[in-house]
Amino acid sequence: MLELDDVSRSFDRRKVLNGISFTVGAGRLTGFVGSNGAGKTTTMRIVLGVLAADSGQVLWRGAPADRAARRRFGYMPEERGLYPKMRIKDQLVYFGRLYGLSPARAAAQADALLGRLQLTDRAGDRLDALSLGNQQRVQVAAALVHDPVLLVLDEPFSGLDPTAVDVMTALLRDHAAAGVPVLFSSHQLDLVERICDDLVIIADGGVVAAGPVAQLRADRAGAQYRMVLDDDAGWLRDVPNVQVLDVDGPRALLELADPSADQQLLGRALERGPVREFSRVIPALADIYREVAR
Amino acid sequence: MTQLIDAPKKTPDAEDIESRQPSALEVVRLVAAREISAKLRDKTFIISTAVLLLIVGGSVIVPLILSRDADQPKLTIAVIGAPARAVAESARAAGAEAIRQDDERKKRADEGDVTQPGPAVRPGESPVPTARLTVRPVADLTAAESLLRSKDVDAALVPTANGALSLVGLTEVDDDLSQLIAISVQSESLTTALQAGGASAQEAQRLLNAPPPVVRRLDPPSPNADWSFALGFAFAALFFITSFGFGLMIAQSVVEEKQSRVVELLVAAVPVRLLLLGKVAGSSLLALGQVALLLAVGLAGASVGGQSTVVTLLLHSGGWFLAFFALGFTMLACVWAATGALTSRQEDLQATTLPMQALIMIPFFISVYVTEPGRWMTILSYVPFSAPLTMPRRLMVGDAAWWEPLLSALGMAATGAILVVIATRLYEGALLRTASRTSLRTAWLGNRPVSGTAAE
Repeated sequence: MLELDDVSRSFDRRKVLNGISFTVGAGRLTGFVGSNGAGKTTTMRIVLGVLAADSGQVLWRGAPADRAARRRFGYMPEERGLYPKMRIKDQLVYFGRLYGLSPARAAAQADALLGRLQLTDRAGDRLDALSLGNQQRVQVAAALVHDPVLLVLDEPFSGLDPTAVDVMTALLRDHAAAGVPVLFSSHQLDLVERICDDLVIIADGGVVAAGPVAQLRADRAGAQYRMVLDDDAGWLRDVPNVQVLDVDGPRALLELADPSADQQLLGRALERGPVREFSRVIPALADIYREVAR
Repeated sequence: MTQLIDAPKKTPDAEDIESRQPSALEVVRLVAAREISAKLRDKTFIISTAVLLLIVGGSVIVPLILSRDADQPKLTIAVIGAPARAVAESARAAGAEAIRQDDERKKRADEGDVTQPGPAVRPGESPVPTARLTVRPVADLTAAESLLRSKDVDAALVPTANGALSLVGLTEVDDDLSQLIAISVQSESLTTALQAGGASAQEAQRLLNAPPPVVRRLDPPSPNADWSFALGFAFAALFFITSFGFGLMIAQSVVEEKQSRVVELLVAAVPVRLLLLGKVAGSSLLALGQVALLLAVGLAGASVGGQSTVVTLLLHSGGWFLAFFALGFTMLACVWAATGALTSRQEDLQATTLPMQALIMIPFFISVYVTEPGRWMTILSYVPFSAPLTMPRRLMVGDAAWWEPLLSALGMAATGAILVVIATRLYEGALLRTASRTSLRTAWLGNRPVSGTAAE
């Protein structure tokens, strides 16, 4: 659906993006992670056309994304902001109309969104009269008012309390479930790991890892295994080709010299008694991130 | 957990028939409409407009009321006895006649008549004072004095022991009043003398009220000179105040969008150029509306005040002023927006708009000094930045040929076109910069968003 093809961009001769390529598939919730200054915001701005790429292109459904295509993208910038003194419904209608909705449709969309965000009774209030949490909700509504076909959200979870994080998660999942590609950046890796289908990690202006979260983790899984027995696991120290990293009573963390020997080891363990758990250690996203992004 | 937003019902592939690419004109109109409605809800804007209206209305009506009262004071005189009453009545008639002649003279002056009746003058006297006299007979001196002390009357005319009359005032006697009474006493005694000499009462009256010779000037000053000078200044001041105020308003509105960060959403939604044009169009319409409203109030005030000169002048040159105002304001409006884009904080606006302030202030102060038609005024009326201040004034006093305002307007339009191109580029280059100040060079070379119109 959305495809970035070798996108580069410099500011003042400093290369910020250096040949970024990745895709966001239909209905895929794609997390976009990288350290500060890695180029996430610049990439998203280029997707939205707020910035131009020096080279490379942004493709939407196989064709270069022009303004007509971008008009149907939904965007939540990292720098949150709407008109502080404008009434919130007027604000949503205004953006709806800028995106090309008819006046009636824009009003209907604004009403519907405000209703779902439980802000109907605040529709006539100025934005700056709302609490910060409610202002965030209006910001979300502004990104959704035109029923976008692609959602790009820059740090949608930053500054949200745990309840609001759940609400935002549900929102992103709902849109992805409806077939909308969703790209969002975040520093909360546990969250990204929990909710994302796909992942793009960038560092120093380049993509260092991309693909389905499960696959990325499995690919990086080494030969470490966790074993939980009923009795003391100390005997594992005497098994050849097995390095015991840690033993804590019946629990052990092992590294096999040859991962294909895992079933043999399991067999030996079962001969000695019940095996409650035997699993390969899949690295957490945070571990992968530390590894690839340093 | 309750779901925040229902999942979209349709697939992303379904083209929404109610959503379509807005045309460039629609975008400009939407942005302009938001700009206008935001201002119309802004209390500061409403109050400042109301204050301006009061000032303009007041400055037209109040002088008219004041001048009428000063020219034609209302006086009341108490009289005791028939002879005093006769003299006072005669004084009242003389004052009323003087007022009638005065009004006649003003009316002719308004109509541009070079011949005028001279002021009513009695032999050996200065012009008869134009005063509205009210005569109030009282019984005795005590009653007259108490009326004087309570300020119900301005003076009392009372008989003295030797049969003559005495004019009594509280602290002083009004000059107009004492003159009128003196004229009437003279006139009474002259009438008596003429009648004693055999003249009939009518003959005596005719001799005393011989009409003064008509005054005619070969080279009269422009009948509207004073008013057109005042109006010329008023136009210049109005342009100065309004274009300054609304210009700053445009810059502030741009900064507000940068400061509140809403600009990134706007830039993602619409082409930057259309955003700029919309803001400028909205503010220009507001500015023009306010000036038109002020002119209308001035016109209404002048009509109510009976100042046909002002009405004529306003009708004659108000349209030109509006046209030059519109050109002069829109010529600079884009540049105001660009100066706003150069900063991210309202606090820095003072510094970035300094060149603009100079560009408006300097021509204004020059135009305050150059008020007489001549070479300098002609030059100023063609310089695009001072043309809105001087060309309407030249037109008002009939100093410009019919083609001159058109040529001057053409020059302004051309300057405006160049400024729009420069300002748009600066605006595009600076809009997404978050530094507190963006240099002109950075803005000129700036990181422009993906360009393209909505129609692409």
